[in-house]
Amino acid sequence: MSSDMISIAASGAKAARAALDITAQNIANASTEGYVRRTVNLSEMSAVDSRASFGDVSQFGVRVTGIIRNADAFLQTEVRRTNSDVSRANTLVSGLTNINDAVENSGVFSSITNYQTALSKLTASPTDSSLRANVVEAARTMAQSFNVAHASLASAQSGQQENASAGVAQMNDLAANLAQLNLRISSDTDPQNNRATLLDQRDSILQQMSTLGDIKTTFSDNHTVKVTMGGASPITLADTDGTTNTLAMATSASDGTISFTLGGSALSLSGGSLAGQQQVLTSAATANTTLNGIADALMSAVNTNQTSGADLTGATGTAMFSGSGAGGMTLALTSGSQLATAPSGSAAKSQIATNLTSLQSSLSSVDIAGQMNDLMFSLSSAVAGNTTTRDALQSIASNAKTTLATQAGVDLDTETANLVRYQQAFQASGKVIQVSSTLFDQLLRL
Amino acid sequence: MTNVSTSAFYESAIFNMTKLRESTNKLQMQLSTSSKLTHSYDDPLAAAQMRAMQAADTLSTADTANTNAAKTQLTQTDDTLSEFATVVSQLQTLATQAANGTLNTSDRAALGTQIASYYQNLVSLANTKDSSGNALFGGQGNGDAYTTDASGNLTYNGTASASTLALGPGLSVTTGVTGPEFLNFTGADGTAKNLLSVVKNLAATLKDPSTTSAAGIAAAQSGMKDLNAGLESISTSQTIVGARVAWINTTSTMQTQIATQRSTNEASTGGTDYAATAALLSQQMTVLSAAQASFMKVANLSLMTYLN
Repeated sequence: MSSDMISIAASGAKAARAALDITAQNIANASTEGYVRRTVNLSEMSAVDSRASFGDVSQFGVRVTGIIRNADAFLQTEVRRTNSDVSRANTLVSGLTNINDAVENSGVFSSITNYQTALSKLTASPTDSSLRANVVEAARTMAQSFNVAHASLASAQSGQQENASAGVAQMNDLAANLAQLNLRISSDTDPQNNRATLLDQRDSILQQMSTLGDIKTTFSDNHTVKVTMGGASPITLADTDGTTNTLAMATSASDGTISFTLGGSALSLSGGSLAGQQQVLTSAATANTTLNGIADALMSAVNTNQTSGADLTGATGTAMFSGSGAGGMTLALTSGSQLATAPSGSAAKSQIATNLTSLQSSLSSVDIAGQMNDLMFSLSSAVAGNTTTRDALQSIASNAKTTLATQAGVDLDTETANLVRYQQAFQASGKVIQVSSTLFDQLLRL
Repeated sequence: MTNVSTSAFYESAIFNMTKLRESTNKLQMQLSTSSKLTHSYDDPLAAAQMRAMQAADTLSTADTANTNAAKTQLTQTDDTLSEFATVVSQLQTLATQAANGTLNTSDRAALGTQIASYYQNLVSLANTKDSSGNALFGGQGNGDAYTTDASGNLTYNGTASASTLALGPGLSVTTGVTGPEFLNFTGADGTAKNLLSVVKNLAATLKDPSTTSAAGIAAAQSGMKDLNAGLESISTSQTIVGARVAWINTTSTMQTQIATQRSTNEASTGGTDYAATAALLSQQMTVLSAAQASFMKVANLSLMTYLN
């Protein structure tokens, strides 16, 4: 009888120890990302059909039947889905901001205005050498500003491409890890084992994957997961049987945009940082095309005008700019005297500036400054619009995260209460052992 | 029972306080830069308008410079025309003297010499250079306005009209008068005359020893009439120049008004509304300090404190 009592108390003490361990584990991981609160599942050990005679105790204490991981699969899916959206929006906003800054900080717009101002000042005295030099310098600054804008755009583009390529590599690593993990989870059948840790790892990998791309998950009964990507016809990234498909990225040589393939088939992404980078690069390519168009329109207007006029020596003017596009724009004139302000066929040092005024009017009819202002407006309003979207997505994601954390996270107050509760349970079991030992001693002393 | 997760509590507290910090930071930036727009994506439309207005500001500096240049040019033109008028009125005195019947031929020849030297003055006045070294009365031509050929005849080398300078959108002014515009006039006899050749011919006639007294008097008298007509032509041109200077003054007043209007627009489009921003900032700061204080209080509220 008393040996039963001791073993019952011992099982109680063991169960309390296990619960204390879990509590300690919960407290230790209170701020661990992705950690899900555990609780111990206890069940009574008793025999119903014991052959013992009536009145005998047929109860054998308590045992730990498993460690419960308090994660809600739906909430986790929500967190991953919203996380993909936020990650895409964040990448898009920061990338668009880079593009906007590249164009804005290059000072192209003000350099165009300054060039037009210099032309306007030259009309007061078309043969004045300092006013002519002023125009040439303004043109040089303008060409350099276009070069800077192009270079900044290019560096923003290559930054995004590198990030995307690193993201692709990381996604493939994560897929390989997940495939391994799937095998381990499926072979792990002992309920007492550290399956909870494996599942935490699995969820953490899924969370990281969702930051990179919009993934869809299908869970099996044995807790393994199949990850697919792509909208209408999903392609498997990592399967429950440990196989994976490789995600690959291709960069367009002409405009720097990127595209993805998964297992050799084209993949369209709608979430995650990879989708964000893809969208940023598309915007950058558009901005680059527009900027090149503006630079070409400007060069063509100025060069056409130059060659249809006469310079200070009376000779037919030569092109002011060489090269093409914003990046190639180079000032070809070396001196202010080469400015063709006079109409074609004029004598040297002609003060007649009709060619200059026709340049002014062709620049304002092409509206170079206005085109540039429009480009900058479209870039900055893209940032502003996407920032609003991003903020909304962020609140949604933050809500989903908080809801999950509320359900699955560690609450220190609850754990403290558990600590006290299980400590008392342990002490009580100890007391029971003591009592049973006293009873046994008493029997021996009879 | 709802489980209050510790990490969720910290996370949401951090999220909210960061948001508050960001918005106070933004308000502080607006106050310290006196501009609502730190980045153009804060308000893309306002930023685009600001760019257009700042471009107009830059372009208007050229208008101001051109206005000043035109004014200098016209003032110099006016001064030189006055010089012309002075010389012509002196020539009128000399011509009046020469028309006097009591003078003998040699006296008239002496007056002719004097007139000839005034003629040289007139020629150099007609070839006056402007501040940038171009002929003041040569229109848009280059080099001297008038050149003298081997036989001593004057030829006009400039263009038919003076250059026109733009002073801003839709505004322009002709920055001078050409020589022919005021030196050519219709003489008393109804024929086209040139002041310089009138003076030159008068001097030549008076100086010529073969000129008879009667012929000399007749020449001096017709010269007086022509000089009168010439003086009238000069003062007409001076009136025109004066009107242009007045137009320039009107233009600069308009430019100043437009610039003032633009800076008012700039201030309302992109400038900080100090009163509203400062009030908003103090409100945000109250909310932030309340959030911080309550966070510290709640964060300290843990059962752990009571374990011993």
